[in-house]
Amino acid sequence: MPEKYVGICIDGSRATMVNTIDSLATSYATVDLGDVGESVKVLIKNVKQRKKSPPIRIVVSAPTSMVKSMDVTAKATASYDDFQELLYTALPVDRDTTSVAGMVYNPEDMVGDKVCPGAAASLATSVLSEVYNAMGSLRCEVVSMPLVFAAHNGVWLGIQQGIASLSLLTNGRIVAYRQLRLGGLSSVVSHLLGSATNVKAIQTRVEQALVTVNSTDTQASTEVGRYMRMLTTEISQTIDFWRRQGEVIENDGMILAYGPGAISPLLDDALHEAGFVRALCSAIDRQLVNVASAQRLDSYPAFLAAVSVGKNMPYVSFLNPNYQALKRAQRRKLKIVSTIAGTLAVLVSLGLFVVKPIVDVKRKESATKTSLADVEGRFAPLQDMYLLSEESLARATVNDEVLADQPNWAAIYQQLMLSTPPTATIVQITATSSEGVVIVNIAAALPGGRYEDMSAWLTRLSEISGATSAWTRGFNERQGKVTVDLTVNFAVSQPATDEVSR
Amino acid sequence: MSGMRKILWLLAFIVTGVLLYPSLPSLDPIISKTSSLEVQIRDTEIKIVQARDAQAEGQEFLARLETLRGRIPSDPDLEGLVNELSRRITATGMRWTDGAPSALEQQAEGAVFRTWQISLTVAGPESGVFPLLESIATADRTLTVDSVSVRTEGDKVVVAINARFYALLPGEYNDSQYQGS
Repeated sequence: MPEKYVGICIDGSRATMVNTIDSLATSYATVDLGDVGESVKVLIKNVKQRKKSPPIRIVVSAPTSMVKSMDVTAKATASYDDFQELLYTALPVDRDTTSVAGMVYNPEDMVGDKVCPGAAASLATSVLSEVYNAMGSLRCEVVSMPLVFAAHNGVWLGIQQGIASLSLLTNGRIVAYRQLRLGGLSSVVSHLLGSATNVKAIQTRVEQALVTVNSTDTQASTEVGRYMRMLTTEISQTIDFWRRQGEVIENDGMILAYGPGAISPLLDDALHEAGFVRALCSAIDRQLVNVASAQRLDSYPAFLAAVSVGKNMPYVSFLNPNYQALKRAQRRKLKIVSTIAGTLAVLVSLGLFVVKPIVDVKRKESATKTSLADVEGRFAPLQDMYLLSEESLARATVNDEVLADQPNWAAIYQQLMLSTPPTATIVQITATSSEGVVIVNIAAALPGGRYEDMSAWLTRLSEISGATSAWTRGFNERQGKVTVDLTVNFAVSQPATDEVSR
Repeated sequence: MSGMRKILWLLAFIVTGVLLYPSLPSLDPIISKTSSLEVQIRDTEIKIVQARDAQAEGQEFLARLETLRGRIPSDPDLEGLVNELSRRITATGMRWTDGAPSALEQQAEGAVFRTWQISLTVAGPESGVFPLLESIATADRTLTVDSVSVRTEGDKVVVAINARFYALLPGEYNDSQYQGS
């Protein structure tokens, strides 16, 4: 699936952006609001970055930046601190105000003490910080200008707003880099500005003079022409110096140019006068076919930044000077969040500890009420029958209770009569029941009877079912009439009537 | 925030929670109420079973209830009692010569039924005593006899009976414990 890349070139206060799909440029935009931060913010306003999107590579050209080739060993890249130390050793810069980055051309060749070619670059930390701040939360990597030209051999002339530079690339490596003393197009603007204050108007005049042959603005045209000639002179001196240094210059005498000033016919004239030939990098040009030809040379750095995203990482990228502060802020935020989360967790736990029993009890109460309502609903149609059942139970209980100690009076009476001697005449029988015992007193006349007859009667009485004892309370014989008083006790063992069950 | 401070904060929360816990509203009333509701449910379930058993018996249950209402009525129904006794005495060939019910007996505390006493004096042939006693025992109304006296007077006997009869007043039997006097 084609990958989309974004490259940005920072040149003074001017920011240029090129979007690509794989290695083919799809759009170009440039903004200059007089402040690099503001320019970048406007430029990236509509940039959307997903989680898996590649980072945005920003190539920065600044007056104070330096690039120098150097040798690297595996040991030097063992840690970032070691590599940074190597970079600071290679470049004579102030560590407090300048950040460094670098690259190793063939990192796979670094084994043991083998020396490999590399390059070191520096950039003012303030510029770097401003760029990273402007990028906000977008993932990006900031690299130094000539490093993105690797693999495109030749002498590269950059005519940009802030600086003019010359880079020598041989065998795909940056051999030499020099910012020209003349400065960038801003120096032309400065000359024309004089005591005027409208910088934007002067910039427009310079831009017009750069692209117009036989411009009516002779002052601007003359100034641009003068700038180009002086630039060419410095280029000649620089290339001579490199030759004397023994550097190998491929296609010597040909100049590859980029930047907003590179399009000027006046540059062609100046180069021609100095014996140079303007050349074009057809490999890059083919990939910029979707960019207007007038803007194509200006788009080179941003385009090369886009198509080199992720290459030679991580050394080639300048660390975000705000990284530590960002990390600290993130850690602080994480601590605050974790503290709040912890506090909430404790509060929730305490809440559960306190609230759960209440909820459980309330829930049980509610469920019990529901169950009761259900049971009462089932009972309602049976209530009348239940009341009858209760009444039946109550009456049966009373009935059984009062009859529990009731003797069978009829049976007792019948047995007493059967045991009475035929000669005896009952005068009175009195029977009382108390606490399960029936006491029967018999007063009878026993005409002609003897004591033995009474004794026999007592024996029969005592043999009656249920009788526990029988005795005499009196045997009187008076004038031939015998009367006896007898007592029999019965134990009440069964109710006199059939029990009415419930 | 250092780890120690976090731990101190955590401890402070826990201690605060533990200290505040006793001041939270007590759950005892709710628990007690729930237990009471559960008892009500259990009791109602028992009532349902009891009512369904009675319902299943149908006419047999209702007939038995009517018999019990006759034995232990809801009011003293002295007139009904006298009529029945009179009918039964006459049926045995005896004659009711005297007798009257006494006042309501003093009830024991917690008793759920009322008791009255009645004294009877009956005269007639000696052969009527046994049927008389048997008839009283099998009366529709429950009578308990405390004492019986049979005295011979010439060619007849005089039977004196002290008995009790009972009533279960309306509203005194639901969900009650039945305790005799």
